[in-house]
Amino acid sequence: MIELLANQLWYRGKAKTKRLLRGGASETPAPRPSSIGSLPQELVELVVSYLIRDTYTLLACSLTCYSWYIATVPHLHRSLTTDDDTLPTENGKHLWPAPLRNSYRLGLLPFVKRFCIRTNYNSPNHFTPERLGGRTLRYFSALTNVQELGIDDPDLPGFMPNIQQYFGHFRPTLRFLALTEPRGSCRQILYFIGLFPNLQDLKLCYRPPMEERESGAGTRLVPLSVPPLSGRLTLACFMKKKLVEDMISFFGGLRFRCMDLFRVDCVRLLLDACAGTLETLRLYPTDPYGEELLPNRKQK
Amino acid sequence: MRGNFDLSRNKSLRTIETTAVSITAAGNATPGFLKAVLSTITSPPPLDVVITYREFDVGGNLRYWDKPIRVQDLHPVIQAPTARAHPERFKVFSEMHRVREFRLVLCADVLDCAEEYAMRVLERIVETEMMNGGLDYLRYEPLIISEVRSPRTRLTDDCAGQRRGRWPIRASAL
Repeated sequence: MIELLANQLWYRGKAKTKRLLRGGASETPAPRPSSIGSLPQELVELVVSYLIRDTYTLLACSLTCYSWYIATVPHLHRSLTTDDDTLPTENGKHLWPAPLRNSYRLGLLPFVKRFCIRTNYNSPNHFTPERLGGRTLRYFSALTNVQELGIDDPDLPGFMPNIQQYFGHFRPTLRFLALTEPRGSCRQILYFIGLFPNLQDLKLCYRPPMEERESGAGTRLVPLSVPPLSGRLTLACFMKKKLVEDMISFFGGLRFRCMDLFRVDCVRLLLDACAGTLETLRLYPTDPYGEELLPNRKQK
Repeated sequence: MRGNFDLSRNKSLRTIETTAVSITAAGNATPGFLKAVLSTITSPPPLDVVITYREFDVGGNLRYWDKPIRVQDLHPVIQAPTARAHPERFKVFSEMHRVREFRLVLCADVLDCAEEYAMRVLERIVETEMMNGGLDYLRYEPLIISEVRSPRTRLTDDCAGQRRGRWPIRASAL
C-alpha cells in the first residue's frame, strides 16, 4: 500500500517538474489528473458493491488507486481455501498451510469471512492438531472474522480436551459450520457445535458407506453454549440419530427454518422437532428414505 | 404408520424444493414420491414448489479451463436427452398439482457466467410449454428466478443427492 502511494507521489512530482521546466503552461496542455481518486469513499464502495462477483474487474479496480484498493480488498479476500497435500494443485499454491501463511504475511486474514479446509476424497489424512503445529496455529488464530467455516475430515477426538485453544477464536463470528465426515462420538460433535454461540446454519455430510460404530468417548461432555441454529440444516448420508436427539435435549429443541435432507435416517424426528419453524424443505426423489411413501416399492 | 416425509405436523411450511436432476434420475418413482409428500402438507396456502436447475440441466457446459470460466452449449448428442427431460418434468408438475395447488418456481442455481444463459433457456422452455397448453392448470405463471454462485469456494456449492459439484471450484480455476 505504502509502495503504491509512494509511486503515485513520485510520478505526480515528476510530471510537475517536467511542466515547470517546460516553462509553465505550454501549447500542449498537460493531461489532467483523473478525479477518480477523489471520489467520496461511500461512492467508491457503492460502485464496488456491484462488482463483488466479478473477480477480474475487482482486481483491476484494486490497482486503480488507494481508495479503490481499500474498497475492493475485503471482497477479493473474502474466501480462502486450503487443500490437502494429496490433491493435485498448481505449484502447491493451495496446499496446507500455504494460503494461510501467505495471507498472514500480507495481513489479509482478518478480511477472510469464509474459510475452507479440504481434503482429498480418497485421502487417509484427517484434519488433526498436528496440522496446526509450529507457526501454523498462529496463522490459524489470525482468522478472527470468519463467518463460514468448512472442514473436511476433522478428527475431533484429537483436538480434545483443548479444542477451544484451536477453534476458540471463531466463537464470536461463526454463523455457518460445515463438516464433512467428522470423526468422533455424537457427544464430541455436539460439543464442537456448542463451541459457537452464534451458529445459525449447520451442514454435516458423510460419504457412503456410512458404516460406523458409535464411540462412547466424551459422554460427560456438555456443550458450552446453546447456539440459535435457526437457519439452514443440511444433512447428507447421515446416520447419527443420537446426535439429533442430543441436540434436541441439550439445545432445548431445534428451530431450523430450512432443511436440505438426503439419505437421513431420522427424517421424521427432524421434521417433528422443527414442526413449528420449518418453512422450506429440500428433498430428493432419489432419496432411499422416501421409499416408505411409495406402496409399490420395496422397503429399504 | 406415518411416512418419513410426512409433513402433516408442520404448520409453517411455505416451500418445497427439489432438483431437476433428481426428478429425472428417480424416473417413474418421482411423481409418486412428490405426490405423496404434497398430500401430507397441512400448512395453509400458498405453497411454492421450487425446482433447481444446474448448468447441465439447462444444456450448458462449463468451460473450467477458460479464464474466466465460460458456458457453452452441451454437445448435441448429450443435449438431446437433456432437452427431452423438460416436457417430462412438466408432466410431473401437472400430476403434483392435482394433489395440491402450488406456485411453480424454476430456479437457475448456476455460476455467474451461466446465469443469463440459464435464465434464457428456462424462459424458452416455459414459453414453449405454455404455447402447448401444458401449464393451463396453473393459476399463476411460473416464476423464473436465479441463485447465482460466485466462481469461488462456496460451502453450499456441493449439493446433497448428487455427486456432481462435490468439490467447490478452486480459486486457481479463475
